[in-house]
Amino acid sequence: MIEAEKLTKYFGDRAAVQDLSFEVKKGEIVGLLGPNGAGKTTTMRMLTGYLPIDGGRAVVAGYDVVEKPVEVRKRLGYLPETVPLYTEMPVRAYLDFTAKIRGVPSKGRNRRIEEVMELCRLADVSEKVIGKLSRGYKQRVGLAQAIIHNPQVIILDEPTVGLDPRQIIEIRKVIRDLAGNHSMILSTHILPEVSALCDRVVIVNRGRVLVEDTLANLERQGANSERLRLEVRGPQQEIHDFLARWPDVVQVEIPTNAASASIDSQGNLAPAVNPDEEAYEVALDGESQGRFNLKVTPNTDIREALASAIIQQGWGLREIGLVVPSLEEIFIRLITEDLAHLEEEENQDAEDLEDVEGDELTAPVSARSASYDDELDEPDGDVAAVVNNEAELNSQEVVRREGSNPMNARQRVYPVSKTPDQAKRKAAPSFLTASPKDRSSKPAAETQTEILPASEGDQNSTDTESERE
Amino acid sequence: MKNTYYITQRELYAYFASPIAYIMMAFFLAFSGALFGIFFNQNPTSADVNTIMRGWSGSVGFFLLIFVSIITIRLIAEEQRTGTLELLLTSPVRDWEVVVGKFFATIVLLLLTLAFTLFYLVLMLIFGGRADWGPIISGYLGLLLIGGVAAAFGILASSLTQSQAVAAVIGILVCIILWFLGPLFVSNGPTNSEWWSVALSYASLESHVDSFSRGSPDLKDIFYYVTMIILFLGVTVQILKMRRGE
Repeated sequence: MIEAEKLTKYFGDRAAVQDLSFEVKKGEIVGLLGPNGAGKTTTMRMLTGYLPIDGGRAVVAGYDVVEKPVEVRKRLGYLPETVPLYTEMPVRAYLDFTAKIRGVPSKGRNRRIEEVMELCRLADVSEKVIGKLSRGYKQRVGLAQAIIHNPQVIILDEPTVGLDPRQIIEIRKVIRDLAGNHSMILSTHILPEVSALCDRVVIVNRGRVLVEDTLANLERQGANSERLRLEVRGPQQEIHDFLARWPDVVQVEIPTNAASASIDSQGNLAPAVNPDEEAYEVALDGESQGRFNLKVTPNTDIREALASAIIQQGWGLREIGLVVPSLEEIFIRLITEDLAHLEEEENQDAEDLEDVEGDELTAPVSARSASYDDELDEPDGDVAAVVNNEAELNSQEVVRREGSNPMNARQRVYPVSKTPDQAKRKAAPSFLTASPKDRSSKPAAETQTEILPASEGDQNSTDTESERE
Repeated sequence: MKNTYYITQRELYAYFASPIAYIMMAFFLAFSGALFGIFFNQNPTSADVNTIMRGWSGSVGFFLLIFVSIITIRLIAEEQRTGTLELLLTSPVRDWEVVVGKFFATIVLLLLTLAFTLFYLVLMLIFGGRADWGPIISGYLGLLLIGGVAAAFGILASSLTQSQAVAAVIGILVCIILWFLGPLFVSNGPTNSEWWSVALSYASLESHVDSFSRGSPDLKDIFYYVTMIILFLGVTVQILKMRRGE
């Protein structure tokens, strides 16, 4: 239904989208994922014919977007990121207008409008002026105009952005009701949305496709580094050694303070435990409950054996479980790898200043902290400690935590948004999208700005974001 | 063509949903009524309907220009600001259908406003005036064409920017300049026969009014106005195509 072939779009001399290819089959819902400025909106606008295409080809519903734009648009419903509403019109009049310009024949037009209002749950506001509706209703009106002509292809650009959780669920219901009859592309950076709605995912970054795969495949792929989560009550050092001796255990980690908050697969925030308190507790008596993360050799399940062994030791086993990487983690890893890759390339070009140690995941972080140490004469002890600590941590955890736990000391390093909703939306991409080019060309300046207090740093990150868009 | 009609319909809806159209209509009718009063007072005894209407239609054009400029600034600038332009341009509607639809909506509003001024005529006829219809109709045709040029240019100005304030300034200033080109360079200027003076006076909106109010519209003048309208609308369509990329 949709074929994008080496789509390319330049803004000035910067390629916003480059050689982007993917395909959407009939009846499929495909999620277009990526950080801010990855080129999602640009791609969609090219598919709808709103933006001219600089290179490549797009075929929608069997027609070439450039050659037969009107034929394509007849078969296409599009909800742009800013919902295009005539706020002075009542809902029914607005839908009537959109139905007309989409070529819905006058016979049956009214019936179709009723149907769509029913489907989008708008019937109770049909005579109200759009400007006076709530955000959720407006979004649904936007969705209604996209499907009014029963198009073969529906393109939705961030359909749930800015809605409250209840409204998000409603919109998702509507989208799910539409599935099956229509091919759909749906862009988002809310990852649980993808799990909830999409058959397939296309992850884009810097205007290129990183991965195009089914959700199940992606998750399977992510699961190859197996990890266990444990909570055992007892003498901490002994337990640690015991676990470390266990065959198949590659590594024992004691999760530091910030492992306390996380986003589960439904996108809900797990409550954060105050990190300092917990550390204090452990320090005071060795008997308090302790959490451990185990890296296990792949394709082994040692849960039962380990559990019974721990109980035999007389320790209190409170929790044992597999850490299944969420789509979010997979996503962040892919993006991070991509950025690390880019950074490596650029470092080599610029005859790099320092060796980037560690695995790919931590590469950008450690590189940054290293350059920080080198460049600053008088590092503030506290901040330096935090930054060093950073290097040890898996960067995907860093990102999640920074977003979800505003009380965290790390906030000083990476300024974060305040509300959970904002955090959820910004968590993944905000610092990753900061242009790596800048970072490598003037490391001192860049690291310094990142360590600035939240307010200034925030501004900084918004600047880079808008620059990328 | 059907799409043009739908867009015209919606624009009319928008005109009457916003106060600006009513306010501007009221202002225009107030000025026009004042002008009518002046011309009526100059001919208190003759009751010559045609003299009065000729004087009125020859001078009310400038106010019409301002009126139309202000009501058209919203047309595209607002759609760009709210994002509804993306809706129109991704619908199976051609760019020119959007532009022409908006133009027609303005013309309808203009006709409606001019219809109110027929009241003067009705008054004079009731009180025993006798009208010669030819010059009156041609006078109105002249006003309609001036309004059309202003509408086309207003839409052009509106397509240039997302900011209605900027669009208003461009639209009104250029309309005023277009209007006064003639009086500035022709009637007062000593260099009447210079080529640029002739060119400027030909380009001036005002210099083409007279033939209409006299009752003998010159084809040249009709051609001039229609050309201006088509030119401005055509440029607007091109600007829309260019602005898609932003």
